[in-house]
Amino acid sequence: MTPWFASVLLFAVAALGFLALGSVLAAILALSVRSQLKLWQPRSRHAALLSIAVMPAACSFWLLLCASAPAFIALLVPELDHCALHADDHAHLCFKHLPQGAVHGQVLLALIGVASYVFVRAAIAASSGMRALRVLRALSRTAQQRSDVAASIVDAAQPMCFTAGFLRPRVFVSRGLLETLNAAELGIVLLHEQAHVRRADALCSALARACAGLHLPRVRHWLLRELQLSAEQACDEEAALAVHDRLAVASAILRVERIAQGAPATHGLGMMAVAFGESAVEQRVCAMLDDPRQNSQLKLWSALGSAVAICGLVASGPLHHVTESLVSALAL
Amino acid sequence: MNHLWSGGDGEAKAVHAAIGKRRGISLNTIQSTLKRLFEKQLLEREKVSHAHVYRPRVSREAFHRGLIGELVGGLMKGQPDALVSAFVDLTERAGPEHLARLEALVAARRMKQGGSQ
Repeated sequence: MTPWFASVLLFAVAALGFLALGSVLAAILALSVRSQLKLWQPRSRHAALLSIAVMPAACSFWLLLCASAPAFIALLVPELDHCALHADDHAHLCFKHLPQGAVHGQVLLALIGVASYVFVRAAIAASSGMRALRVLRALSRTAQQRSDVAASIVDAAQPMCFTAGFLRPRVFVSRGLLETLNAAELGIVLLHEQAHVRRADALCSALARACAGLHLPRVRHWLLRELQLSAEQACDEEAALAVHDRLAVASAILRVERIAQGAPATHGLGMMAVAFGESAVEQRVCAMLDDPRQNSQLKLWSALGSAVAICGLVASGPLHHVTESLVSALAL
Repeated sequence: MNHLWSGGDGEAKAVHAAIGKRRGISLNTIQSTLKRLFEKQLLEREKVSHAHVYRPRVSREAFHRGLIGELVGGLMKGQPDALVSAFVDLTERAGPEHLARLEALVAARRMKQGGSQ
């Protein structure tokens, strides 16, 4: 094992450790703020949930950067080489003093296992995403356009309206829904979907899903559901603001849900499930019946997050040494 | 497909005259595209004189139904929100009792609002 390869493995072990720490911190944060978040306005709640979703990845990246800061500084200014300052009984997270010993075989195997798993999952997700984009392109090209409807019309009897696409999302509405809704209801549905386009919700959702794999299973499930709900509620709020009538939005949601329940099951949409508990529709309608929420502590959250990030950078020296000691004990 | 669904002539030369010239697509490209769509079983064809005349094998509705089913059910593993944001969830329905209760709630609120004005 060459010293450079051993050094890369040490950095990888440190990154994985920080990732695990980020997942645990995100789980603690999620547990402590989940009831408080319900009181926030949907737009801020969505932003907060998104930041929790990316927390393990962001935490790992930032802590690794902070822990590597002395090594980077030593590379740029050789006089500030920190390795001479501490005992040489463990490996250095350093680009100048490469580890002399080999990394444990079990650690190497575990790293290969993790890398293979991530590679396979990423390849499957990428292939699925590419195929989905191709299907979407076919749908866009063959959907009909009408001057009086600000959406592409899908020739389907099943009532549905959706926004799809990552970078250039488009609104689709089915012929079945167009024929059933009145002009006011259709206007609300399209306002809601156009809010998704403006907010780039599909892109945010894809990012959250990509990062969600780094969370503990229960946190992941809660996070993805809440993210979807808060995005829908944020778009409901935008539609309500545009038509100045929250009850009309609540009625439109119920009307579309009622039509969807009455429609025959469509081939390929056989996964329809009935939510006998508190469904997203119920929560969205109840939110529309309440007064709009004003409460949000997003600025406080941002300030706290920035402060913690700066603390990590300030404490990069001790963090570097602690990381070196732990990584050496674990991997060498 | 749009051209053929709208009843346009299905001979390659006619398709080229209708859409190929306008978009700067050569006759060869049109011919190979039609052949590919035929191989994918989206078109059927019959030989008239020396040329193939193509017709849609699936309707636009069946084609769209298949695409949406593939998008929602298959590709996104029943979790389409990674790509699709639907006005009401495409894979989950509220219970009928819940729905009736919510409708009554909205109607009562509307009446109350009307009464107070």
